[in-house]
Amino acid sequence: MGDSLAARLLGTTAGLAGLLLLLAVAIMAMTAPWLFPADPFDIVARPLLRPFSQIQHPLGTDRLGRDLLAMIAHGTRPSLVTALSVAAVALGIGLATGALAGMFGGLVDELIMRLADALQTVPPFVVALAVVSVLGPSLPGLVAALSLSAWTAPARVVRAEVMRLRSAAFVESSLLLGRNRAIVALQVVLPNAITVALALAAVIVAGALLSEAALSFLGLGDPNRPSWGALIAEGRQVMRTAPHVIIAPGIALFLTVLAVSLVGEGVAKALSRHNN
Amino acid sequence: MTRVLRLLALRGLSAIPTLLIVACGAFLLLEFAAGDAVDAYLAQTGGDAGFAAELRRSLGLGGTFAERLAGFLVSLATIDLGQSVVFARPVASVIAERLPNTLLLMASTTLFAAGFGLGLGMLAGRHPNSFADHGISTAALVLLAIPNFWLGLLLVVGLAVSWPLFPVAGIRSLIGTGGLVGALLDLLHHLVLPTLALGAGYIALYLRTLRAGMVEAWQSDHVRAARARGLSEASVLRRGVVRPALLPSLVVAGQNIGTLVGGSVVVETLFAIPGMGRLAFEAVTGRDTALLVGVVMSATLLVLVINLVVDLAMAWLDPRLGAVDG
Repeated sequence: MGDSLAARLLGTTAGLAGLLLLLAVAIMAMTAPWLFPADPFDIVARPLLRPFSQIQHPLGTDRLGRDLLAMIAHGTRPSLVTALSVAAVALGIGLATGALAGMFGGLVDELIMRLADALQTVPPFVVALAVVSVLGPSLPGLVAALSLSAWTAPARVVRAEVMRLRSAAFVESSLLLGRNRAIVALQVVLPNAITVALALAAVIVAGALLSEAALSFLGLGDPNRPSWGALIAEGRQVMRTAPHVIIAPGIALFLTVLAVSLVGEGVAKALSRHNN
Repeated sequence: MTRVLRLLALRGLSAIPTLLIVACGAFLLLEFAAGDAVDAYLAQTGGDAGFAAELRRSLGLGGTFAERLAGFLVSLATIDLGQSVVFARPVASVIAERLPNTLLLMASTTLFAAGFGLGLGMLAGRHPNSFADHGISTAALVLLAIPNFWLGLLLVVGLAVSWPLFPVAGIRSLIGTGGLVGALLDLLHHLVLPTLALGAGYIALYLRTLRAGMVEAWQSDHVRAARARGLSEASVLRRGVVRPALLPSLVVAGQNIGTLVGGSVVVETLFAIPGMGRLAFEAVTGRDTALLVGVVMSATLLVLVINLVVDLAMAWLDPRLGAVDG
C-alpha cells in the first residue's frame, strides 16, 4: 500500500509541489554546515548590507554585519528538528493513548479522554509558554511544551478508528482465540489506525514550526542556536530602514510551513482517492 | 426552553473535570517553578529565614504536597488568585483590567475572518474545481502558512511606518479625540492592524468550511426541490445553501477560540496592546508564576464560556440539538 500511496501523493499537484519545496528545505538544513562552515554569528561585512548587492552575502547582513543567508541556513535544522520531534512525540503518545482508550473503553477511556478534553481547552500557546518558562528553552523543553497540546488530536482520531475496528471480524476472532487485548490492539488494530493518524502529522508539524518560531520571536527560544523567529525579533530594531532583515527569515519560515501544508494536502487527497 | 437548559446543565457539568485537571496542572507549574510567592515577596522587602517560614505558614505554602494542593484549589474556588509580583496587586484585578481588550481583539478578529472567509468560501463553493475555486483554495493554504507575528511586522512597516495610515501600537490614543464617537473611532483605528495580523489565517479556516458545506448543499435534494418549485436563484442560495453551511462555521469558531487566545499573546505583545495575552508574556518574562497561573486559569475559563455560548447559538439555529435525550 505504501508504494501506491506515495505514487498517488506525487500525482497530486499540491503533494508534488510540497515535496519538492520540502526537499529544498531539507537540503538546506543538511548542507548548511558545509556551505557556511564559519560560525553564522561571526561579523563578516559592513552592517545592513542590502540583499543582492554583494555576491558573497546574497541576502545582505543584519545590523551587526552578520551574513543573513548563513544564519537562515543554520536556523533551518533546529526548526525542522523541533517540529519533527513534536510530531513524533505527539503521534506516539496519541497512538498509544488512543489505542488504549478505544480498546479498553470504560474507566481507562474516561480518564484519557477527560485529560484530552482539558488539554484541548487550555489555549495551546499559553500551555507552551507556561511549560517553557518552567523547563527552560532547551530542545527537550520546547518539544515537551509543544507536544503537550498536540497529542490530543491523533489520540481522538485513533480512538475512533480503534472503536470502529474493534467490532471488525478479524479483531473479534483474535480476541476469541484468547489473545491479550493490549497485544491485539498493538498488533492488529494499530497498524490500521496509523494511516489515519499520519494524515494529522502535517498539521502538527506546521503548527509546531509556527509556534516554535513565535516562542523564539518572544525571546523564549534557545538563545545558543540561530532561529528564524529570533532573527525576525532582532530585525525589529532596524526594520524601518532595512526591512530585508525581517523579510528574509520570514520567507524561509513561510515557505517551510507552506511546503508541509502542501504535503499534508496531497496526503489527504491521496488517502481519499486510495479509500474510494 | 427545557432543551436549552438541559444543554446548559450538561455542558456545565462536563466543564468541571476539565477545570479540575487544568487547576492541577497549574498547581504543578507553581510547584516546579523556581521559588514561590514568599521568595518573590522577600526579594522586594527583605527578611530573614524565620520571617520567611512564618510567612509561608500564614499563606498556606508549608505542609505536605496534598495540603498545598488542597489550599490552592480552595483559593481558586473562591477566585483568590494570589498576589502578582510584577504589578504588586491582586492577580484577579490585573486580569479583570486586561480582559476587555483581549475580548475586543478576539471579536474584531472573528468578525473580520468570518466575513471574508464566508464571502470567499461562497465564491469558491459556487463552482467547484473552477479557476476561481482553485485560486481561492491555494490562497487559503498561503494564508495558513503566514506567521502572524511576521505579518504584523510587515503591516507595521508598510502601513504604519512607511505610509503612516495606522498607529504603530497601543489600543487608544493618549490624547482623546473628543466625544464617544471619537473614542470609538480611535479604538477601531488602533484595532485594524492587530486584527489583520491575527485574522488572516482564520479567513482560510472559515473559507474552507463554508466551501465544503456549499459544495454539498448545492447538490442536495432540497436545493433541487426549491429550484423545481421555481424559487429565485437568490432565495435558493440564501435559504437552501448558505444557512445549512453556516452551522459548521459556528463549530469552527468554537474550536478555534483556544488558538485565538494563544495568537493574541503574540499579537498583543507585538502591538503593545494591554490585554490578557500580553499579560501571559509579561508573567513569563517577569517570572511571576502566580500571575501566569491566573492567566492560564482565566484563559481556560474564557474558552469554556465562549464554547458554551457557541453551543447555545447552535441549539438556537438547529432545533434538533439537545432535543432527544440531551
